[in-house]
Amino acid sequence: MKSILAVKNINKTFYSDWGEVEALRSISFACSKGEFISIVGPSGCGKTTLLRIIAGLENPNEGEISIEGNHAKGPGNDRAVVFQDPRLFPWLTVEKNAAFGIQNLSKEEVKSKLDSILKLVGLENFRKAFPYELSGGMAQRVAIARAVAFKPKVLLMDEPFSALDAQTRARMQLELVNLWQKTGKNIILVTHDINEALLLSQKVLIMSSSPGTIKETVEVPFSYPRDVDTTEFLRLKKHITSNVF
Amino acid sequence: MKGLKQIMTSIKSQTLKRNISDISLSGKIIRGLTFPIIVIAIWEVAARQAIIDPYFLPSPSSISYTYIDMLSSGLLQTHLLTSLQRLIYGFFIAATIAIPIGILVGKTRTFRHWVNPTLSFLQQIPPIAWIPIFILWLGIDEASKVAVIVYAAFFPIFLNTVQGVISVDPKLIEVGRSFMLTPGEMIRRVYIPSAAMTIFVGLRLGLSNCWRALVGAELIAASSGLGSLIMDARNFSQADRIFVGIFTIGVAGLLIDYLLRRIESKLMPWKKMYQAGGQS
Repeated sequence: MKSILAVKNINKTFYSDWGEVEALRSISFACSKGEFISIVGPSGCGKTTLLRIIAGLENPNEGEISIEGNHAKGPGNDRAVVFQDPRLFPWLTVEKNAAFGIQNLSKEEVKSKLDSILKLVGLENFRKAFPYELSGGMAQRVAIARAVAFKPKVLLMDEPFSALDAQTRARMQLELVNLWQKTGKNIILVTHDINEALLLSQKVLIMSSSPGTIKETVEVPFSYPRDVDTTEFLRLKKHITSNVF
Repeated sequence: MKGLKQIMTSIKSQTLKRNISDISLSGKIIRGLTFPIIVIAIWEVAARQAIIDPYFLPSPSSISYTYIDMLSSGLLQTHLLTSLQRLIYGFFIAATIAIPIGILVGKTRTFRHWVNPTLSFLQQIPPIAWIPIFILWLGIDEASKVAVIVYAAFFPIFLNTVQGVISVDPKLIEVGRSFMLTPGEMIRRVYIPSAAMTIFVGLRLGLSNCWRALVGAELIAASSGLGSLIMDARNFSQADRIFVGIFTIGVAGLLIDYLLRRIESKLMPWKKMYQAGGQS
């Protein structure tokens, strides 16, 4: 399969008054069309930094990101980010937040697009609500809708469910798989939750810290919807857990 | 997300609080009016008992007769309208200058370093102190008065705009970047709405500042307006007219501020979130 996203030999060092920290060392991987990849690792291993570099929000010291063979520098309309916190604009309604990134479309087109996307994330009845009226899970769904409406080739998610309560998180995970299957987008999900990575993605990149490197790449062979109680699942989980910590 | 949860809970507690304050809203009005009513009552009694000399302090009832007289002759309205007109001119000019410059200064740190000391210096000078030189430059007519108002309104609007722009949530700016907003779009779609509430605080402060400066300017040099009405009355020793002028100034100021608050809550329905003390 042709690769959509290629991460080539990324190095990143942060310099500050108290010294320098090597955050990432020679990170390389590729993401083929439609693939769902998770990045797991202990906190502070640089997985968020890696995602931010892929998003173009941060520049690497070395290496490059390319999308469909084209060098990508800075943010681009081929990538969209869902952050850990929803980061909605408090002065915009749900639908206007979701439409934030939409460009060059007529009113009718925007409307029909919003209709389908808000339906996809289950917010069609909250179009006119303001962010302060939403629960955490709903707000994060708006953030996902906003990213999807941008029509990126790759959806980048930085621990999007980590601040949600357990039930909401479980429901959102199912919805994300659903959304991925319906839209066929590439997803790169950064998470510290190994269970989440195994439940959702086809491939898990395990990172080690100081400096952040990719220690191992694990293929997840299970079909969807996944059952977390099978022995194979548990064995793989155990393997990853022992590798992360 | 944790922040959002906090907001949700604080909104809940806020609505509870609001219910409580709703119950006492009429109570609040009554409480607020009690003190002035008592003062006026004592004042009226004192005047009727001839404890105070009406030459210096006319009774509230005679002031209200004068007030009705001045209303029915249209004199009060003419002066009030003149003052309001100056206020509106000056205020709008000030806002049109102060908001764009404020955004620019707020966005560029180097610019801030260049202009901050000068502005802090200018800020210390009361608008009234400029009146003589404005009259010298612009003449005794409208222009000098409008200039004073512009000066009075500029700093509150400007400083709050700068503050509002500086305190835009960097996380939202990052969202704007990731959606590839152009610099212009960034200002229009992220900075201005983010700073809108702080800018509005500046507008309100600016307006009440101008109102005060305007009356000051009219007291010193004007042939019309509420300030000049008071000065004329003083020249003829008409204490009742002075009081009518003073009360009109106070009431008009209150109404203007109330109007601006209404506009604010109409324009910014999401404001509740911030008032709930939430910080996302």
